[in-house]
Amino acid sequence: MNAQSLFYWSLAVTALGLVLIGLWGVLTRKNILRIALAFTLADTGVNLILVWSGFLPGRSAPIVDSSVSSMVDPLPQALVLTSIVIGVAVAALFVVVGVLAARKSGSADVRRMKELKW
Amino acid sequence: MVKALAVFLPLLGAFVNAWLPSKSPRASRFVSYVVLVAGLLASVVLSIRLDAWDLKNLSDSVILSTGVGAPPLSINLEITAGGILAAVAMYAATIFSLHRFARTTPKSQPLILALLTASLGLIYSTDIFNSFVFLEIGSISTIGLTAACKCGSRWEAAIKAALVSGLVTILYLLAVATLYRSTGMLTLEALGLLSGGSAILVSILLLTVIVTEIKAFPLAGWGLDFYQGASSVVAGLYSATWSLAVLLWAAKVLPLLPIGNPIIYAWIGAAGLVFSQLAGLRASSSGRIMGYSTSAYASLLLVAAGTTTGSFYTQTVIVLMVFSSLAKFSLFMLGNPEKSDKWSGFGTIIFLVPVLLLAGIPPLPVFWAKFAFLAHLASNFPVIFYTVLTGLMLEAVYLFRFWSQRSERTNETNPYKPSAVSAVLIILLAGIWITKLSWGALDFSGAIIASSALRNVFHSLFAIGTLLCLPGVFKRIGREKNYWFWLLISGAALTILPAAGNGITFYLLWEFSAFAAVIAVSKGVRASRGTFWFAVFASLSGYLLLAGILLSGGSFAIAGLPAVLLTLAALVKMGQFGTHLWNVKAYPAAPGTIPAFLSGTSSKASVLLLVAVALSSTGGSLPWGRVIAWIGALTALTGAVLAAMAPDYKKMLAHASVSQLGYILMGLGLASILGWTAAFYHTIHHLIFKMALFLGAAGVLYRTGTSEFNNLGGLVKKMPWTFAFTLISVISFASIPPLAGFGSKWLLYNGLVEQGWLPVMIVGMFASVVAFLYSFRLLHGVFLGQLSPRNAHAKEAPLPLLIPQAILAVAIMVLGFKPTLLLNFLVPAIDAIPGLSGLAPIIQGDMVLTTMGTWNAWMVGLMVMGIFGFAFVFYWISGHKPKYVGQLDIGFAGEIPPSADEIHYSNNFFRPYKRALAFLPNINAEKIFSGVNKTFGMLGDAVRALFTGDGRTYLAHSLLFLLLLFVFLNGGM
Repeated sequence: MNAQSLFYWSLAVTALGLVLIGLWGVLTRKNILRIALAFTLADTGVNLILVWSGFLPGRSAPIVDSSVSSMVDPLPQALVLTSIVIGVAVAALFVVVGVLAARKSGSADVRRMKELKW
Repeated sequence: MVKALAVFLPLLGAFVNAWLPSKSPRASRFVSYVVLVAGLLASVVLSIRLDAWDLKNLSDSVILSTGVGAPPLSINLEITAGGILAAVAMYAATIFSLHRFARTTPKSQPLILALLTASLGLIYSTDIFNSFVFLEIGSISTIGLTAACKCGSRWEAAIKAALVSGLVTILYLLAVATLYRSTGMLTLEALGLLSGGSAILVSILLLTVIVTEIKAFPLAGWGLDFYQGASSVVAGLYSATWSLAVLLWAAKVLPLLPIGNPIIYAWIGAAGLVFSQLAGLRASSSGRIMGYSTSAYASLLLVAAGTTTGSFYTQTVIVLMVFSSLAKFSLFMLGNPEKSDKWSGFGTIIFLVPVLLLAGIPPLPVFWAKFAFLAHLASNFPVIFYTVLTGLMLEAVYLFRFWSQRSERTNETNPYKPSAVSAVLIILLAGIWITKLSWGALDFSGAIIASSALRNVFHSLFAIGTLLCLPGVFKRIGREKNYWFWLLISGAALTILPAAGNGITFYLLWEFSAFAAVIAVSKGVRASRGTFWFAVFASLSGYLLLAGILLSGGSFAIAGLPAVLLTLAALVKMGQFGTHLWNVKAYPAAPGTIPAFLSGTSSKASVLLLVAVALSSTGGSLPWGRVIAWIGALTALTGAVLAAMAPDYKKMLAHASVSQLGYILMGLGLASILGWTAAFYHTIHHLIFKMALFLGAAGVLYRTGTSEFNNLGGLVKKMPWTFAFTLISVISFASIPPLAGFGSKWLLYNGLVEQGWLPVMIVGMFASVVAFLYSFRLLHGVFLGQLSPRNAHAKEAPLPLLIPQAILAVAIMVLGFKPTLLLNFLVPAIDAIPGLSGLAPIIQGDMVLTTMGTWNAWMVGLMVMGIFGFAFVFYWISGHKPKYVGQLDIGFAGEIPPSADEIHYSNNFFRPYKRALAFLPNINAEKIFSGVNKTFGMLGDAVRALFTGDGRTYLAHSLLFLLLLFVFLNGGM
């Protein structure tokens, strides 16, 4: 296994690992801000997977000038930019709502936020 | 240009609004109105261009290119005809709701417009990543709007929506990455190119995302909490824009998923429908009830995606989703559910229209789509059909309960909220429009009852019955509201009913009449409980009817199971065999002449249905005719006993009505010429005397304000005419010879003897004896004995009530003395029906001959009158002087009465009989149905225990669902 494909597969494993850790955190943490962090982790992992989906071992970054002959697929990188921006917005909103909800319920514990049920 | 305007104007408005100084709410509202109205106009123009309004080619589309050139350089939006119709609804709802936001949260304008932009983008999007962007914009604006609008639980609702949207983002992007990795494309069509492992992965990811987003069971938890917690204005706007958009987007994506056999959607949907609606039975908050209804429609979408294809699929989905969303919008806009609003008069109707729409009652738009869709299911996927029908029935129950509870509350707010009223108007107009489009499916040739003579009997019964109820409609008491319109509608639908030529026409008219009557009942004072039971049993019978019609292929060529279902529909409608609960609850609650209409006229619709079933199944015999006859006999007996024990005039008549309908069943069950003659004769006779009795009761109620026997008595001197007409009716239904009732019993018992059904006859005869008890109590409790002091000022009933009674009383006399007038017409018509057994009675002059004997009504009448006259003269000359005593002056045989009521002579009138019957187990319908209710409640509690309220549970549900799908699809593929 050469360095390129090692990088390729470690990227995939890291990304998947981040997603799984994030999901685990979302399901097990009780503090709303920790849940927000866990979501951000998972989001990062997903973004890495997006990048990975366009990654072709042995090619260079898609910055076009005369010297570049073979580059990786540029589209996922464009997508990832959008996704990151959206992710920031969602995370910010999540934290705001989370903080205000915590203030309202007097605790950041998500288990306290179940007035609405059944 | 128009395309771009229709799609992007809200986005422009959102940007402009966001830049406007926050201190100028007027300017920002102005901007919003301008862009929304312009966008609406553009959408309407586009919809006309696409020819969307005839609902035929809803998949036709135009492409809106957003960049230069063709994809992949630019992203295209595909504006379909169906999508543009939904867009028109979204624009309209946003415009209607804007003024509500302006009052509560003036700064929310950019969010509203962003939500609309996201919704429009999502329904037009053809690209999977593009959809992701719109999904995120939609979630962000939803969460923002929820948090911005002041309401008790907004933070919790927002945080749950945010949690779920976070998970959805992750799953969705995983699917996007997999799709791109495998196919190198991002269009929705590229989903079809997937194969093997990536196909499964993308399918389960997207299916989980979709089921979560559309809030179908079992992933509906967050949606329920959201609807409950968000302020009603936000929830209303949300359901009309974003929720609708997600549903339509899901409808677009589901058929493209490379999942192998899409029937799995239908199973998820059908099972989810039943479970979620079970849980819905236990919901009490209005927002949550709307959430369960949303979940029901989401499940229906899954079922549709699994079982239908092509333009039928698009049509079904568009009509179901657009109109259910509008209905929910108007319900939310009617006010904050937790602040009790009062609905009176038309306010109730404005509230009822969306409820009826969600329950799929004709002629509202959803009905047509549901009917066609269920017909498709019935003929291709029977098991799914039953499951779906069960779920829909459960939904109808809690919707009607919701309606009855809401209309009961009293308070100050104005029901005529422009937003809600406009949405309801749109629904009604659309209903008329879709009815016009679907008109071709209807058939008024009267083919379901071939014999025009029998058809005419029913036509005239319904018409005359309705007409006789009409004069009294303006004699209302207390807070009873105007109901004449609904009486007229119900009566008109009934009058046309016998002309129905196919199943859908019959069902349409049947439901139309039933629910117009439901509205009429709701106009009574404190009628909400009665209305609820009426609505529940009406929809139970409606669903049985629907199932029967659809299983027999939409026609009336019925045998086997459909015939049984249709028979059950008629029995429920008649209140037979334990289902009399609704009669007993609704008749006393109904205003004015409505009980007369329901019991006398409208109950005959079920006789018509039974006749139609019998005629079309096996030439005149009902399925299990003997069972039907036994049901009739036992109901006649129990109904009579219950009537005798009833403490209330109208309740007694309700029991008596159910009991009398039992005799009709005995006749029809016989499947002989004599039996059918008796059944028809009794149908006509029952209409006459029951209407006279109930009109009499309406008069008594009008003058005294009460129908409890404890407060009545001695009215004979105050209301002599009412007494006379009631007496005639009572003599008639007690089957005492000179009047009409004797004939129906004579014919019936002849028929029973002819066929050798002696046990049935014995029970029937015993029931007639019990009928004496209650008929005596009726006369005695209301008219005889001593006058209650509280009725000292009572007067004779008003003429509009008396004149119809007089007409009916004359009819009873004529029918009593000259029954051959009617029999000469009936017997040949019934004799002509092939397949009925036995011999026809022979009519010679006034004589009616059967193999058992002869009956000369004229002679019998004269003789009885002679004997009566002799007895009367004897009584008169004997100079007997009665002793007058007070109402409370009766012996009590050494017992100590616990209250003053107890010593009123009318109280517990037949106590000795009650004691004699005390050995019988005390089973009554109310107990049985409350048991049923409890059982369903327990099931519902078990199901809704899933929705713990902890946001993380909902995430766990989604992930678990994903895993299960993975296991299932891997095992199955």
